[in-house]
Amino acid sequence: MIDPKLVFGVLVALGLVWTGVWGWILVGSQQKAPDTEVGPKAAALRRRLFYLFLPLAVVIFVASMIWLPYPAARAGIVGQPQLSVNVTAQQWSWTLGQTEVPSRVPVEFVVTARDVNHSLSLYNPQGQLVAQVQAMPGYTNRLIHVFDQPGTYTIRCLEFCGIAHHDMVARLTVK
Amino acid sequence: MTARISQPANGAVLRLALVYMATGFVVFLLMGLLGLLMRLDHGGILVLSADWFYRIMTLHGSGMVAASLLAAMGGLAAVLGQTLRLSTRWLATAFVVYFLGAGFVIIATLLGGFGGGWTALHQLPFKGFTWGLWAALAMLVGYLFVAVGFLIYCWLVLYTTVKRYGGLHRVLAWRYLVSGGRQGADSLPGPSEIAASVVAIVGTVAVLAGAAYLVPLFGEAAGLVGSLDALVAKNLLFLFGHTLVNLNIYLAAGLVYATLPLYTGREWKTTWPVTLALNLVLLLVLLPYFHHLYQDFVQALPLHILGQIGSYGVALPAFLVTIFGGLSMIYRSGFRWSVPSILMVAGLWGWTFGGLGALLDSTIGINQVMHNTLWVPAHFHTYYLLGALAFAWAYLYHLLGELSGASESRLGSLAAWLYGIGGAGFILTFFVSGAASVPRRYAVHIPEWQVYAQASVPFVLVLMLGIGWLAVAMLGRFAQAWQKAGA
Amino acid sequence: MDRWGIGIALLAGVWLYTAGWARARQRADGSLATRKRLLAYVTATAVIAIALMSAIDTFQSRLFSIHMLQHMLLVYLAAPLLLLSRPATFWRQGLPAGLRTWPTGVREWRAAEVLSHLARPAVALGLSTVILWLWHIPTAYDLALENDVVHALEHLTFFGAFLLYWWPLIGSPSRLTTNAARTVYLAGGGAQSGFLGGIITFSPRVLYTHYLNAPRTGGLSALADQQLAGVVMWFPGVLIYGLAAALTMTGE
Repeated sequence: MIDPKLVFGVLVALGLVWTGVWGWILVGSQQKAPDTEVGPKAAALRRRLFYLFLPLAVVIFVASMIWLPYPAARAGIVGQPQLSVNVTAQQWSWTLGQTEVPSRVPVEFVVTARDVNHSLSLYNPQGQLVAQVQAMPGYTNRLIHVFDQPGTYTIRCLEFCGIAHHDMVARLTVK
Repeated sequence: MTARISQPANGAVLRLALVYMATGFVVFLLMGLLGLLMRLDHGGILVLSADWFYRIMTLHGSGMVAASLLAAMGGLAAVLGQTLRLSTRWLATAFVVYFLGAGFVIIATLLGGFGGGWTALHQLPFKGFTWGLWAALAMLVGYLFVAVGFLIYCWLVLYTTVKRYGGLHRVLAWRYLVSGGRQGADSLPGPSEIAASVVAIVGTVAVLAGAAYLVPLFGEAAGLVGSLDALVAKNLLFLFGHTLVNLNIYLAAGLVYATLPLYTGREWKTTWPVTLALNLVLLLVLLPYFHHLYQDFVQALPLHILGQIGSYGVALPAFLVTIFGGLSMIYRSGFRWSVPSILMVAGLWGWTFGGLGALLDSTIGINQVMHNTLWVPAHFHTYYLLGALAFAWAYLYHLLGELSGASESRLGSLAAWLYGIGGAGFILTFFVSGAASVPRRYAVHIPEWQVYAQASVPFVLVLMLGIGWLAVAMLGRFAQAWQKAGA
Repeated sequence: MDRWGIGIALLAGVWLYTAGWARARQRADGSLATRKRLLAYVTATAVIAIALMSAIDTFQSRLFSIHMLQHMLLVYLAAPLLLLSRPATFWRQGLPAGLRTWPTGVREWRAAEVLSHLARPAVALGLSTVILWLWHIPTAYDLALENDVVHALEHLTFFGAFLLYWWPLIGSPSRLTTNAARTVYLAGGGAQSGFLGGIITFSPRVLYTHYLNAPRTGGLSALADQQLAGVVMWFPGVLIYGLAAALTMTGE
């Protein structure tokens, strides 16, 4: 649902703004002005920033709730899942109820683990991570995902689980 | 004109602080070499066996966390020793226990084969297959020792500040805070003293969580109790681990409160915003740990929400008071450029940039596509290398320079800039990797991912160049500084 | 080892010490003769007795872990306790009047000088470490297990090595005068002994052929027994260094 590259773009944009500010401070540091002058201006700026950041944080926070991946929230946005796929993770392989799923409909993955924590992650044909959920021993996590693009998806384990953690790979065909 | 340190009340504290920081620095160097090995493996340049990669990864993580915390602990002890009577008895005991604990970890990974990651998440320590039970237990015992060492330090700090100011409410300046700054302004503790006390309180809670995690694990190994519930285990572990690493930067901030003024000619006083910020940190800093469990869907939703609130929330006081405060102190101050000031400035940059990455990742919806990719190491390497560690080495360099009477050098300033630039490039490649969905904790990178690690290597070399020069410079000053400290 | 011989020597030691302690207490400057010191001496004796005369001694030739326990009792309990009790002072006082001033002259003066050099922290740490590691070389360790005289020598030198190690810390006069110095000393000692313990714990093969050939006891394979021995040396051993820090650091 969210493109990691877009997130990186946001980071770079904000980072550039921040670096600009930081650099400006450093350049401005070479001159000298008494603290009695700088202090009150800084305090005033800080107050202004606080009244800017706090509401901004609240707005972003509330807006971000639309992307909650939890089953109830996700189903509320995309609809109830039309298909349930059982997934069991173990050191170091995947057991999938089925290896073919339809695209453009909500699919539910019912995920658990036999031994230690693992994580079911879905990588699209371009190698981008599109969804993940922890596979926990003694628990079942349900991940609802809509595959908007058909093709071969890669399942990787994304929670460190031992020596063959990086080899715990499976394929999922999305039709 | 060299910036002056106010005469320490106790040379014994200074010497112990040097022991703490020097040990931290040496371990940092060694762990850094391990980190380089990991990056070379990722780049396909020097391929390690999976077994060795994970052992090195485990040691690198735990070793860096331990070294960084140790250095900050030592530095802050030296700072506090200027205004408080700190008992070196317990400062020394804490070091010995902590150091020996670290030894367990080194032996468990290098000799015992333990490769369960520095988080040692249950049940992996007991289900590793490539290491035996004693290696896992040695690792956990090592953690226990380190936690106890840290706890002793926390209690020493708290005991000292509470005794000096006559009560916890005075140490945290509650009357001053609640009255809007109108009352209680006469006997306020310094910002470093408040920061240290906040860390000590939160640190105690974190260690208790750690004990609650470790003790059942020992019981399980002994066959006395059944396996710890996976969700409970995760919550306890991350409450312990995340909080511990998070506290590091607040300890290091205490160093900045004490040192930046010396290069700006201005004072960092305990103002009402400072008091508010540190008390807010006290309240909020235990909450962010939930962001490690966003992908454990079975965890109750309110806890996930609390995690995002805490993660967002704690950024406000950190940025608006410590970072903003530092910047406004630097602005138009006739700032003196030298190794310590450059490193501090790099740290202020990094703390914020890393914070931006962290804020993004701590948004649950974004975390879905970034958790356990290299984005996570990206943000904490930024917090460490260009944050807590930058502050710690700034302070160490400053302290050694002060004590030994060594003069500043242009080459040193260049080395500090190399540290900053190399560090920045290095962490940026991590962020890029995270954007490219490269997983973390993989011993083997597929060809598509290797290019990112390869790109990081030149930056690592630049970083190493900077660190190398600083290391040599500090080594050269150490003997004299040690002598003068005891005088 | 000859248990009767050991028993008699220990008893004689207690007799001598207690007599001297009592005599010292009656004197005007009897401040040295504290109850703690007496308790330390008696406890040290008891620990040695348990280590060398109990079932521990019976089983040490069959189980490496028990042998390790024996060594641990001697070097980490008995040795420091003995040092704390200041035995030389009170043994001398316990001697009959005529013998009390007997060891005088050049010989004693020389010995004191040599001991003084050995008790320098760097020397004590270095020497005790070397002795510890040398005896753990398989050839040496196996020899001690096969030959009673060498075994006695091993125990004596282990004990002596750790008397030496603890001396700068708790002997008198104390050579480590600052907490910073004690920190480095204890961290170093703990690190090297922990390292050796770790090597033994994680060694993939049995190090000492004596135990390879010893009859299986307690249901433990030779390798499992060796792992346990390593753990016995490592975990409680390192803990002792941590405790020593808490107990010997002074308020500076």
